[in-house]
Amino acid sequence: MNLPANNLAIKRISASAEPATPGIREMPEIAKLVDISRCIGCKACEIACKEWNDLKVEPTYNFGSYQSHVDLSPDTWLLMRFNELEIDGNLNWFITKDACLHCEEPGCLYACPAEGAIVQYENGIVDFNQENCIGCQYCVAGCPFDIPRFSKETRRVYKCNMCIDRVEAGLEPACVKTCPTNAIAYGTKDDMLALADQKLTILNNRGFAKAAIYDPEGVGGTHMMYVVPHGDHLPDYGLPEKPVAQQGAMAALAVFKRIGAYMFGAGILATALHYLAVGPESPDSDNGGG
Amino acid sequence: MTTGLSRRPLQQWEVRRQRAVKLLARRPHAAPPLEFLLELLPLQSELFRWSTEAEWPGAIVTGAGDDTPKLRLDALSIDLLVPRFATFLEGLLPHSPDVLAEIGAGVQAREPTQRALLKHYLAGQDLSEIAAGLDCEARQLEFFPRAFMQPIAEALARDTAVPEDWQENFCPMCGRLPQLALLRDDAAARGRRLLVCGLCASEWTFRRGVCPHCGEERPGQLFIHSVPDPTHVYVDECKSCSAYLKTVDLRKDGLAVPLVDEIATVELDIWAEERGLWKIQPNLLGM
Repeated sequence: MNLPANNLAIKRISASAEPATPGIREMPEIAKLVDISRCIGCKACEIACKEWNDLKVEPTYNFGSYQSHVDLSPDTWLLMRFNELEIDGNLNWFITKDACLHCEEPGCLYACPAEGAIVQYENGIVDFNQENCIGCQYCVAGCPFDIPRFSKETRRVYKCNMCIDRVEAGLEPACVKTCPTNAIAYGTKDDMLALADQKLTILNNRGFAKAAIYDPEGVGGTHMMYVVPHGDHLPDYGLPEKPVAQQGAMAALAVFKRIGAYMFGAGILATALHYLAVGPESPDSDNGGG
Repeated sequence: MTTGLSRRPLQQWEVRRQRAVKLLARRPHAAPPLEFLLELLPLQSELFRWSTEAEWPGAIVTGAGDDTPKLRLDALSIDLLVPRFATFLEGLLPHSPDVLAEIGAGVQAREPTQRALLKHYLAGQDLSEIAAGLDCEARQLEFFPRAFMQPIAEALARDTAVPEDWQENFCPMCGRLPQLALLRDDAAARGRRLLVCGLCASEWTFRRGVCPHCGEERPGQLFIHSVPDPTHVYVDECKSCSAYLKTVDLRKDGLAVPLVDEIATVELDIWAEERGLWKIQPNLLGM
């Protein structure tokens, strides 16, 4: 993989309508590509995620599924979900690597009112900065994929950060590194899209006529993409068919900031005009010369 | 987590009755067991109501370990049960098949027999000796205490939560064996497999690809036998121990009532028996 180390330049910051200062380097967009047809459901990626990010082990039990846990949590950022469905009389596994998709248009970031709590980097990673998080959970509501999880202990929200410290050092995320079947690939977004096309062709030739690439337009594409064998069964993978990033909060924030700036300028202008027209205020005008 | 039949008070009996009526029209070959079930259900419903109102000190074990059944049937008051048992027999025998009516008459005739029968059954002891005295088989005689105790045990179990991590092949509430399995989708899991207790109807999660009798989990030893009609009930066979139990797939027929549908698919039991299989826990009607 030919990705540069230290490739973190900020693209967007939560609660800030201004674009980030342009970087002086060209930062390649990175992406993970999850080929569901190659996943054997071993959950090694889950373990790697826990290990690398030093996340707490959460006891679990047999709740009737092959999943390790019922749901994502502040300490489980990656969960292999197992669904099953009969198609043409045959049992089919619908496995999904459920974690942050690192949207190009991140609904969580658009919804976040705390400046700097969510940062999107030029390479596509959307990261939460818990130090700035105010625990309002707007990001939870803003995410079209239901990924961020609120911790009642710390009153902060957590999710996958695509192993940003590894990526910054030029390494692949831990889940990619550990996957024994290479079901998770990592590289530039363009390379991953090209790879996805190849995989799609392979799946089509294997008889999966409805195979599809999941890189939804409604969120501007994602930096974790899927190749799914049954593209006509997206909800069975737990993937929304038409996810949309709600930019309303961001747009409103931009308008209010602009209005505030104009009013501030108008106030200074009015003060200057008043000074020119009336002149400086004399001590006599207030207390009658006393 | 436990959901479903055993959690709903009283109305479940009406749901079972309506299902039995529906299946009676749809599956005429299963008419004899279903017609008998329709006679039995009102009596059981009344016992259930009575049981919810009665006091049962010591019946629920509190503070027991997670691997111990919560219901202590042997702690139930025999003195309280025997009069109701007699009333139950009185209502049931006129509608029973000849063989059962004859055995039941023998039980009904002597109060000490009723007492001994209930005591042995609640303690999980062999009924052969009592059966020999009545000139019948133990499995035939078992019908009476089981049919009588089912609604009472169900009423006792319904207010106690099944431990989430219960992994055993016997009921976490009363310790008896599973009569059937069911598959259900819920918020946490698709195709969750639950075993249903043959006595108190409690449900507990059990691994999908494992024989509930011997624990076999090699795929090559576990078989599913399904038929075109009904598609939602099939036979789970374990080649290692020759045990089977029926599975009701609620994802295929959400209106199915597992305990009733299991009885209404008698043809699957006949087929399994002809194949040399034995059922982990026969249903109430002995199939």
